Amino acid sequence: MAENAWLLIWLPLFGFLFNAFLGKRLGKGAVSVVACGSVGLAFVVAVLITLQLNGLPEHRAYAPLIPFTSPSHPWIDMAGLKIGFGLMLDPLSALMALIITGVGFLIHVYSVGYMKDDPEYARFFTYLNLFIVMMMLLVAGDNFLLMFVGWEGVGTCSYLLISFWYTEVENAKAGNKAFIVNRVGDLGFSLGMMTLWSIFGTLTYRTADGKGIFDVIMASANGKGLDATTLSLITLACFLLFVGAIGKSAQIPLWVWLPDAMAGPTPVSALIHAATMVTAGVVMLTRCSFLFVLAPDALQFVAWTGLATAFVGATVGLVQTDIKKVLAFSTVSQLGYMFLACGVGNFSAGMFHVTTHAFFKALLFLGAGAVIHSMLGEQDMRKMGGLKKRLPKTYLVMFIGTWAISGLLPLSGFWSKDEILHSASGDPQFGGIFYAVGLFTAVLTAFYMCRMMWKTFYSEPRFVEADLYAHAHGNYLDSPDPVQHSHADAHGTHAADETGHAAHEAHADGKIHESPASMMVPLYILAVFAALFGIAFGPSHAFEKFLEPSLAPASLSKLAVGHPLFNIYVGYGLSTVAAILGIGFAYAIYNSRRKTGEWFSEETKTKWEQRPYSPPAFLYDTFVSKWGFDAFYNFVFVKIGGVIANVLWKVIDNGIIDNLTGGLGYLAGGLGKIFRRAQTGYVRNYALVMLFGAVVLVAGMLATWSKLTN
Amino acid sequence: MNPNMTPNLMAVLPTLIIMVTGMVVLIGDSCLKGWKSTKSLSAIVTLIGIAAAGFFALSRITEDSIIVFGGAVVIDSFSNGTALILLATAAFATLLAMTYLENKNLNLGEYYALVLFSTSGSMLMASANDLIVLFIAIEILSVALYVLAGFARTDEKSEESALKYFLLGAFAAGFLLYGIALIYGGTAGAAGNGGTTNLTLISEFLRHTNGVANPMLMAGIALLLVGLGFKAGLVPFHMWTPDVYEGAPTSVTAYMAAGAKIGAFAAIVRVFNAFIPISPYWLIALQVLAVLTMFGGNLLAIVQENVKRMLAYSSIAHAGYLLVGVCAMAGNPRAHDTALGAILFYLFGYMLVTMGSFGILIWLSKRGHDCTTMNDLKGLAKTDPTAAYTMLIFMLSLAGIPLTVGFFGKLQIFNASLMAGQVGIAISMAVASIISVYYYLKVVWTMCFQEPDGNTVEGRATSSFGVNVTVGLSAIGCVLFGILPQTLQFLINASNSIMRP
Repeated sequence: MAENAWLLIWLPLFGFLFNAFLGKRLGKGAVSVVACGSVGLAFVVAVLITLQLNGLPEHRAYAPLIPFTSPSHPWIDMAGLKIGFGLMLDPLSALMALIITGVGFLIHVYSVGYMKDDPEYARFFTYLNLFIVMMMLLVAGDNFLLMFVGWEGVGTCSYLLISFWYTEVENAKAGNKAFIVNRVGDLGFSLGMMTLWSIFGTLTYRTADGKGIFDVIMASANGKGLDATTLSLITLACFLLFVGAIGKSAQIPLWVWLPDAMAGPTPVSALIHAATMVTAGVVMLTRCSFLFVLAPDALQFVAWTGLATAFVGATVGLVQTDIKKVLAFSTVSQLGYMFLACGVGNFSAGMFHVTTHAFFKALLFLGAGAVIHSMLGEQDMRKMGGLKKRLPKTYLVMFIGTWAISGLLPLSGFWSKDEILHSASGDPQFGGIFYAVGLFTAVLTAFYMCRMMWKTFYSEPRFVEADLYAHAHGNYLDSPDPVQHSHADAHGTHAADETGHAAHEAHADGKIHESPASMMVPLYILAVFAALFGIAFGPSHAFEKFLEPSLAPASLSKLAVGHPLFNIYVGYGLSTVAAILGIGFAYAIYNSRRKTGEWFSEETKTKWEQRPYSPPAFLYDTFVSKWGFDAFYNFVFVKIGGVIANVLWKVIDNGIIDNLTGGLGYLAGGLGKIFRRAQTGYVRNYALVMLFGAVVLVAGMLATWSKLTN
Repeated sequence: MNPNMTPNLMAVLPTLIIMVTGMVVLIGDSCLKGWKSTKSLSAIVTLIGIAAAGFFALSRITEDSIIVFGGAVVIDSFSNGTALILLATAAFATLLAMTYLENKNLNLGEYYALVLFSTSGSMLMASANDLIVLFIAIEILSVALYVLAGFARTDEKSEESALKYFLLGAFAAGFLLYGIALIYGGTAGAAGNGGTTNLTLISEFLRHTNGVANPMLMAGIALLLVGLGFKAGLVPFHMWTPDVYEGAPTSVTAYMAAGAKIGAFAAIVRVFNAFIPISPYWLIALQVLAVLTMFGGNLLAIVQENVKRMLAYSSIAHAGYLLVGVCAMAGNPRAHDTALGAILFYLFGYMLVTMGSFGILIWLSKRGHDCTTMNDLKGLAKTDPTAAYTMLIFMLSLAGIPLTVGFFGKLQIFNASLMAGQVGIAISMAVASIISVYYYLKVVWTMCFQEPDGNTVEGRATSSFGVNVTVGLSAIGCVLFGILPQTLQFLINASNSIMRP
């Protein structure tokens, strides 16, 4: 099957091309079948490949992506640049292929229901399929350039999908923000790539003849080792690559784009901004474990960045009122955990959390999408409440997701988070701090997730159902929210399609109803994985063993080895206590405030406004303002940067460069006009010019001859 | 037939097939004058002949070189590779002409025969190992082209262009022949007491003289360069190009721009490959010509309002880039093979894009109105988006933007030039390419960013099966080989068999 790995890319690519060129003409049915089918088939291929990995030498295989290429006949082999165009199949790429196509497939199916009435249905699936293609290239390409192609490709898809409903200026702005902030990271990535090129003269990870980057590192580890210059260059490359990861995985200080990215349709948030693309940074670090273990300084920086992001993300998550924003900051925070794991050298723990997070966060986002769908586009939790009775199925899956992410036994999040905390406590220098902050963040995580549950499901409803529908029906034409629009539209004109659907009866009475089956079934499947994946592969270390061939061996590592602070079982206990603490706080605070669903009354908040520097007011402000990052960037880059750019534009560009280039253009045009005069159209003139040319040529040749012979 | 002739004839089989097909078409066409499908039949027979010749050329592409006809002709993978490109040109020229000629009331079977004859001439140019054979080959190519240029018999411009081409061509042939004579004199002692026109012998002779030239030889090379430079459209022997390209029927222009240039460069490569032992003597002249050609072509292209003229000047500029490749080939033995591969790759890409972009002009031509000026293209993206965006691909490729075949062609020539250590000329090439972007993008700008007005061509007027196939294949090839340049590796490898200095 390994030799058929090209299907992983070509199937979704076919879907992309089909939907792009024929989608609109052939209608929604064909689009759904091709979009979901291509990704589903790719998932089957991924499963088959994974099952065969064990039989391969070193658990690894090369698979060409296009005809006529092979390691000896690469994609580009010109001017000293050799770039292959193939996939490297190993446990890491197989794992990511499973996540991307598996979770991706479920989200595609979910989108069939979610986007049902969007007029741009085909465009949506076109982008989604293209995203799968690019993400697969990113994780499975056999060299850094292909990873970069995928890296930029997913960035583009992310941009296109965030601003999918581009007629709203806010959405377009969010897309721009994501794209522009990622530029910074991408610059780091490309510089890192060039550094690696300058060290190793290649960008391929592994080759059969042992010339790949990781092969060279392994060979030198067996020999006399790498010299100091190379090591410091590798450290530089690691820092630069990590800058790329900071951008793509929304770490401090480039994390500001991810919350805004929630402007895209919810399936996009689930697939791109939770399960797959944002974890690309972690995948890249894991792929480069051979490099990072040689650069302990870079790793330490990774660990601190991850820790800070985990903590800051969680604190901001505490005060969000938009259900998707809670999940967005939670994603930022969980990504921080993953980087913490990588930073202490436990890459497999990081990837384990990537995997479990893909399940439970996709579940939570899709669940939130179902809630939003049922609430006709409402995302503000202050206007929700009481949904447990009205949406029992959605409630159930959200409950499982919350349980999983809170890190309470025995669901997935517990196992992966505990593994991270356990190995973080093993850092010889900062183990204590890493563990303490990590554990405290776990308390915060459990708290903000339960806060969300109470506000949405347990508290009393803060809306009137009939009003909600009346409002939607009455105003959908000028409604700014496309989800609401399309949904209302569905009830207005496509109600007949849903005849027989259980929920149809309910909403006909002006009541909130559950989402259709195409949305609920993916949720159930994800719920099963979110619940059981951790316990199935965590305690037995099966996941770690599976991933091992992709990682740098311990013998290569230059990291100082320490001992975890606690026995693993004590760790389990502490993690459980942390989760229960968070849940307990939430229970204590919100269960008694079911009426409003708010911790602080309006009076308290008014009081804070009057005394902004009292400690609680200050904390609240800090969290709400996202620790001032947006304001800071706005001031430095938008305001001051705007002034500088204006100077560059008006003085340097318009004044100097335009005149210079304009002058050159004028000169070129002028010369052209002069030469053109010679083009008289008369044969005699042409012949004369030829004769003149010939005479000069002969004279020149003879002159050269006399110069060279004397 | 003398049995000893068989291997000789077998060796030039592709050329022979093309010549025989040409005769069959010519005679068959006049015999079946009354039948209404005769023209289509002629076109089909032409295509079959081309396919057969292409098959034989392709099957031999990796074979070692063989010298036949007493040393007068050499068949190696370079000549086979060139032949493949030339055959593709002829096939496209046939496909482009089918409906176009009918619309212009020029549907004469001679067209196909003439295309075939001139193709056989240019194929022979690529395998000529003797200057006399080269001269004959050029004449076979040219005589057919003179007629083709004047093919629109009722169109004054076409007649004028044919006459100009013929007069100047005759003038250039004089230089060429005189150059050959001087070279014969300059190589006195190469073959017995006399001189020689055989390239193998010339090369050996020059090696024995320890790379020292004599004035007669120098003058001969200079005059040879005038003759070949005329065919290739090098500045200052280019003056005929715009007038002839503009006047000739568009399908003929496409064929001339690609086929004649490819043949000419194949010949330049062959001839100057033999002169490599004394390269210090003539390299500087070639470099000066290259710079003049690149800048002359590009600067003149900027001020054109007629697309056919613009493309004519652009073809001059591309001849300049190719000459940079020839300089690299001769300048340094290390760069020899790389440069040869680059030239072949470039020729292939240039052929695709040239046929494609002229194909678009044919696509847009109406009965009684040829699409030739910038005004015709105004706002094309709105009236015929397919044509506009395909043209966009070709313009980007001509400008050498990545992900098109033109980019890799330029990259390879540039690389070869740097490998040969000719930094100055490489920089001039880069600067010239930047200038060229202006007028290629001007076409794009006219198509995409201007509003259509009364002049704009509406819809695909002459769109036919042949035109669609040509434009489609060249566009696909242009992008495909721009993404997967390695697919053309066989062409690059084809250069490896040419005689090394």
